[in-house]
Amino acid sequence: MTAISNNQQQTGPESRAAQHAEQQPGDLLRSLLEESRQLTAVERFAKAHDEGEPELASHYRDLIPLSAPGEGEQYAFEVDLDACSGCKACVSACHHMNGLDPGETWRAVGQLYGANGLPIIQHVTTACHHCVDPGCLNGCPTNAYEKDRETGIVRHLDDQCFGCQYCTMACPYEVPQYSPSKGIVRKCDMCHSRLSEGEAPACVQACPNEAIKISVVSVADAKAKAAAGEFLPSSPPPELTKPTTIYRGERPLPASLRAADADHIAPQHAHLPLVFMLVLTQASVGAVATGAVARWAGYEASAAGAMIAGTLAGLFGLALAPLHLGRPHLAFRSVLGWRHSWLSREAIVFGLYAPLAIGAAALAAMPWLRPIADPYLPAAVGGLLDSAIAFRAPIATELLAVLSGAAAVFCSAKIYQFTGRAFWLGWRTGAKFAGTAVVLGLSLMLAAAAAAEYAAGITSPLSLLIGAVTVATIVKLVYEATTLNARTNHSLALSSRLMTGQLQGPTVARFVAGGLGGVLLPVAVAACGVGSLAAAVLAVASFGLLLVGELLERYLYFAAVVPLRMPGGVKS
Amino acid sequence: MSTATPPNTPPRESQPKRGVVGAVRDLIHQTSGPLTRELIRTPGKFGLGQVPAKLEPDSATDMVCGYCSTGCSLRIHLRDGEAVNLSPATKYPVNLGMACPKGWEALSVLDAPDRATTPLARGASGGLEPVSWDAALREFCDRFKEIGDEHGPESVAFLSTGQLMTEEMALLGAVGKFGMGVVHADGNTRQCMATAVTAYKQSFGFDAPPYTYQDFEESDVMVLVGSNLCVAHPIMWERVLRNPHSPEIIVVDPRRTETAMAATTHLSIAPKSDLTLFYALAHILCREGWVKRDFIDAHSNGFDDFAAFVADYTPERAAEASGIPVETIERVAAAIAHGKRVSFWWTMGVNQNYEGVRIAQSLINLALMTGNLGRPGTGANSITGQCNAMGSRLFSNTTSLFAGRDFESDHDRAQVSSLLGVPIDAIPTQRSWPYHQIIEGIRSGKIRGLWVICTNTSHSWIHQGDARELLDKLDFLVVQDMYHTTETAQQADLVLPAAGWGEKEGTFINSERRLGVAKRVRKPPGEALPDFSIFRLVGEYWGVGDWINRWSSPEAALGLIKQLSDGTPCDITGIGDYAPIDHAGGVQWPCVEPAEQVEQQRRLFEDGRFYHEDGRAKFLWDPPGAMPEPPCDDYPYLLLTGRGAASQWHTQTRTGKSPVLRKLYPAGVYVELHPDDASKLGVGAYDLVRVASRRGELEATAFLTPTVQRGQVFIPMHYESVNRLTLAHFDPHSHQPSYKDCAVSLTPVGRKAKR
Repeated sequence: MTAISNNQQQTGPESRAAQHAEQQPGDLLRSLLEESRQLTAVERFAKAHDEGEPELASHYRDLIPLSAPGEGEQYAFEVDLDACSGCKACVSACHHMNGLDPGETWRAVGQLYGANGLPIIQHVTTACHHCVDPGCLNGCPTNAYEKDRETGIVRHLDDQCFGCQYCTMACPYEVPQYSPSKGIVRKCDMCHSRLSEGEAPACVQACPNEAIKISVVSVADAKAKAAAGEFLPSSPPPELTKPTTIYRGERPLPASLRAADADHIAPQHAHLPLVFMLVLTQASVGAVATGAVARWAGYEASAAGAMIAGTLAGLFGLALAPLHLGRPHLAFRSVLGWRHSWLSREAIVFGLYAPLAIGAAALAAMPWLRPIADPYLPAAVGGLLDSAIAFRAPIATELLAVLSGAAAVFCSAKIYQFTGRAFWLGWRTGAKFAGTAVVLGLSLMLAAAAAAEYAAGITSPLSLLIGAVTVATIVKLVYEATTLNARTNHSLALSSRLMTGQLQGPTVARFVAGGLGGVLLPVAVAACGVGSLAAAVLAVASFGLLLVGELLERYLYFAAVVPLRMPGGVKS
Repeated sequence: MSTATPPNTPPRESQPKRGVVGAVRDLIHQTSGPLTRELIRTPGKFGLGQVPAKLEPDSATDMVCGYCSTGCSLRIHLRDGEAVNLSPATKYPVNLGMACPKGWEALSVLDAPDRATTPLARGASGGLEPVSWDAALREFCDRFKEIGDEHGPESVAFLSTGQLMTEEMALLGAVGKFGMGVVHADGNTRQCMATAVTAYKQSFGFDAPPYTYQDFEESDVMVLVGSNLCVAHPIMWERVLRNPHSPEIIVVDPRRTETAMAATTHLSIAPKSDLTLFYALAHILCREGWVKRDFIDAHSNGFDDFAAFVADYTPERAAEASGIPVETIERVAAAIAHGKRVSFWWTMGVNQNYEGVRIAQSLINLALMTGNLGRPGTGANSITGQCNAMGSRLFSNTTSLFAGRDFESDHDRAQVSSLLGVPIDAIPTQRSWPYHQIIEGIRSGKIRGLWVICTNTSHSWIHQGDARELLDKLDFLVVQDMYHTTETAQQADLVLPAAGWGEKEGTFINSERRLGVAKRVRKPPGEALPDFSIFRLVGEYWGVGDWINRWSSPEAALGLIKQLSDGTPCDITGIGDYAPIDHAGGVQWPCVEPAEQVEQQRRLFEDGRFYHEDGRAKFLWDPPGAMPEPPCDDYPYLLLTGRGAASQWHTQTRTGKSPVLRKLYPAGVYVELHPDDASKLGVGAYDLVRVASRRGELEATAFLTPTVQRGQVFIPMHYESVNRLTLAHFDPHSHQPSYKDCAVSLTPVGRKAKR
C-alpha cells in the first residue's frame, strides 16, 4: 500500500497530522522563504584571478593584427564564411560585453540560400563595415560620425547626435540603430577601446568557431574591390559606401544565392512628421511660384491669396520637422554637416526660403494691407515701402523665393536619392517631389482664384487653372500607377507588392483622393459656374482632397520603400 | 600590440569644459557627455578583459548553464553577490571560453514580467488567482489525498523534467514516490533521451554514454546521425572544428543542415531508412572482412547472428531505401573500416523515432564490430538534450529506482530503504508507466491527478490537441514552473511559483557524464521558491515522515545521492561536495576518488568491460518497419520537426523572454518546403500556407529552401502549434514519441498581411 490511499496510517493520528501541518510546515515555509533570499557565498568556490591579462587572450591573439594600420590602411572585420555556423553567439556577446540596452544588437546574422549542384545554406555574420566612404557619416547633418584617421573605425558621437535617424536610411547595411528611449542612434565601434589595449572585439572573442577576426586592409584595395562589385551575394552594391569587411571561404558561393529574407516585405516606418513637412513645403514652393506668375499676369488678389496660404503651409511644414528628431532641442545642429549632408543643405536652403516667401507674400498683399496699416505707420516706413515697390522688390523677392524654394525641394529629393534605395532613385523621388509642388501649387491657386471670384467678383482664368490642375494630377497619378506594377527590379517589385497588398488601403485612398480632388472636383468647379459659392467651396475642397492624396502618396513613399540591407534571417 | 587610438575615450573627451568657449564648442561638437559615458568600457578584472563600466563586477564565480546538455560553464559577474552580467568561463574543459546565445542570455530571462511570484489557484471566476503558500500547499495535499483515497494509489502521477538539478529531481522522486506514494511518474526526458537510455541499457547493461568531449577532437572519422550540432549543440561543434586530424565528417540527415553543409559527406537519406542503411554498412564490413574479430570475441555477444542477419541488407537494398547511391554507401563503409578512431554520434533524429532504439543499437553494433569503443576519438555516443537529462536518467527515481535500480527488485528496494531511511513498504513495488501511458491513463480514468514540474506538456506533447483535452479532464492539475504563462500552467488548477536557474543551487550532469555546480546568484522574484524547497514543503505538509529531514539542503541531498550511487556504474562517492566539484572544473562519473585527483577527460570501457553480468556488450537488431503514416494522396507531404535556431530552446518558455534572443529567430511558425513543391502548390515565398494532418492544422509562413527534400516539409518544434499535427506513435522499447514522421497536406492561404 502506498501513502496516497492510506496517508493517515503512515503519518499517524489525525491530530498529529494537523499539528504537523499547522506549526512545523509554517515554520519551514518561513525559513525557506527567508533562505531563498540568500545568495550563494561564492567565497567557498574557485576564485577567478583578479589581475593579469584577460584569460581569453591566448585564444584571440591570432585573431587581431600585430600592429596598427599604417598609411593608407585601416582595420576591417574578416569573416570566414566556412566557419560561420549560424549560432549567433557573436550577436549576444556583443550585446553583453558592451552593455547595450535590452534588445539592442550591433551585430546580426543572416542566411543565404540556393544551390550549386547541392543545396546551400550559408550563414553570414555582419556588423558595421567601417566603410571607406561611410553613408552614415556623409548623410549626418550634425557631424556625429567620425572616421578615425589611424584605425578607420567609423565612430558615432552619441552626445552629438540629435536623433534625425537619417543615417539609418543613408547606411545601406542597416547598421545604425535608433533608440526611441534615448533619442539617438548607436552603432558598432569595433570595440575600439578593446583593440587599443590589444584585446579582441567582443564578437571576435566570442565566436566558438573563430569565424570573425580583425585584419588590416589597404584602403585602395577596398576601393578597388568595391568598384569591381566584390563583396557578398545578395547584398547592397559595395560601390555606394565601399565597405571594408572581407567575406572569404573555400566553399564557392554562387552569385545566385538569395538572402533568406529577400522576398520578405514589411511596411517601413512612415515618418509622419517628414510626410507632412515634405508635402507642405513642396506645396508652399509650388503656391509661391504659381502665385508669382499669377501676380505678374495681373491677377493680384488671387495671387496674394495663394502666396499667403502657401507661405503659411510651408512655415507649418518646417515647424513640424523637428518633431521627427529624437532630441528636438538640438535642432540647430542640423546645419553643421553642410559640407557633405543633403539634410544640412536642405535645412539651410529652407532657412533662406522661409523669409523670402514671407516677404513675397507680404509684398503681394501690400495693396490690401497698406490702406489698413498706413494710418499707423510712420511716414518714413510708408515711403520706404513705396520705393521698394517702385524698385520692383516684389518681383525680386518672388524670384529669389522661387529659386531658393526650388533649390530646397531639390535638396529634399537628394536626401532620399542618396540612400540608393531603388524606390527613391532619380525621378522616382524627383518626379514625386516636383509633382507635388506643381499639383498643390496650382490647386491652391485655383482655390484662391475661385474664392476671390466669389467674394469680390474678381475674375481670373479659371478654366486655364482647372485644365492645368487636371492635367498635372493625371500625369502624376499615371506616373505613380506605373510603380504599382514593377517587374524588372526585384526591390521595386516588392514595393509594388506592398502597395497592392499590405498597403492596399492607403494606396486605394491615395488614388481616390487624387482622382476626386484633382479631376472630378475641378471639373465640377467648372460646371458650377463662375463666381458661385459652390465653385469656391468645391475649389477649396479640391485642394483639400489633393493635399490628402499627396500626404498619402508621401506616406506610401516611406512605408513602401524596400531598404538596402545585408542578408537577413527567415522572417515570420 | 598598440595602436594610435587611445584607450576608451580620446583625451579631449575627458578634458573638463573651459567656460563659455567649452560650452559653445559642446553645442557645436559634443564628443562626451552622459550618452557617451553609458557605453564606456573598463578593465573588468577576474580574467575578464574589458567590461561595460556600468556593469563592472566586484567578484565573479563560475557555474554551469541551465539550458542544454553541453553543460558549459558561465562566469557570473557579481556585484554584492548578485549577478549583473556574465561571460563564458574560459578554463572549463567543456566550453573553453565560449557559449551559445542562450547561455549569454541566461540571466535576462529571469526578469520576465510573467514570472510566477506567488502560488495561483483557480478561483470561483475560473481564473488563476494568487493564494498564500500555506493555502496552496494545503490545497495540494488535500486534493491529491482525496483523489488517492477515492481512486487508489495509481490515480495520482507526476511528470518531471530534465531541467531541474539532480538534487531537486532526486528529492522529488523521494517525496513523490516514497512520501506521497505515487506509482506512475515520468519525465520529459522521455521525449528526448529515452531511446538512448534503453539502447545503452540493452547493449551495454547500463545507461552509459561512453565518451568525453575530447573525443570530438581526436576522431579521424565522425558519423553524425540525426544531429545538427551547429544549431543544437554549437559548443560541441566548436570542439569538432578544433579537431586537428582533418576528420572525415559523415552527416546522415534528410535535411541539408548547417552541419551537413560542413560535412565531408552528407547522406541525405529518405526519412526512416536509417536502419536499412546502417545494416548495409554492417553488411559491407562483414563482406569485406573489415571487422575486429578479436575485439568482438573478447567483449561482445551475438555478433555471428547479427552478421547472418545483415547478409540480406545489401548496399543495393539500402540504396533503394535511402536514395543514396551504392558507391557512396560503399565509400562510407570503407571510411569507417579504415578510420583509426571512428566515432558515431546521434541526437534526436535517432531518439525521436518509432524504431529509435534499434537505430541507436545499429550504430552501437558498428562501433562494436569495428572495435571503436573505449579508445580516444571513438564510441557510439548519444548526445543528450537537456542540461540535466543525464541526472534525470540516473537519479529522478521515476520509472527506474534511484541510480539505475529496479522498483520490482526486492534487493534494490531494500538497499534504497536502508540508504535513505525510508520504510521499505513506502517504496512502490511496480515500475512506473512511461509518459504516454500516463497520458493514456487520463483517458481511461485511471489517472485523476497530475503534478507537472518544469515541463510544458500542452505545448510539447505529441498530438497536442488530444493531450490538452486530456489534461482538462483531470480532477486536479498542478503545474510548478518559473512562469505562470506556459501553455500547461494556463490549464492548471494550481500553479506553484518556482525559482529558476541562477536562483537556486544544485548540480547538473552533462552529456559526457560531467557533474557541474549551479549557484544562487539572483534572488527569486516575489515568493517564488527553489524547486528543492517546494519539494521539502510538499513533504512537510503531506507529512511524509522523519526520513525527509535528511534532505535538509541541496548539498545534503548530494550526499544521499552519492550514497545511492555507491557500487553502481555511476558511482560518485568520491566527488565530495560542491566546492571540490567546482575546483575540479566539473567531474565525470564514475568518480570514486576525490574530484580534484581524477583526470578531466575520461571515457568508459577502456578495459573493454561492459555492464552486463558477463562484462560483454550485446549485438541487438530487428528488421526495419514502415512508418505508420506515410504520405498519401490526401496528405502528400512528410512533416519533419526539429530544432530551429541555436537561440531557441524547446517550448520557448525561457528563450521567448529575451529580447535579444527573440531577434535571433523567426517570430512566428514557419514551414520550410522545397521550391519545386512550392511552385507545384502555387505557394510563393513568405505566403501563408495551411498545414494539416489527420489530427489538426496550423497556418505557417512558407519558407522556400532546397535544403529540404521534395515531398518533405520541416517545422521547428519551438512553435506552439506544431504538435497539433504530430502523430502519437512510439518506440516499443523506449516509449519515446516519434515526432519526425507524419503525413500532412499543404494549401496556400493566399497572400496575407504579415507584420
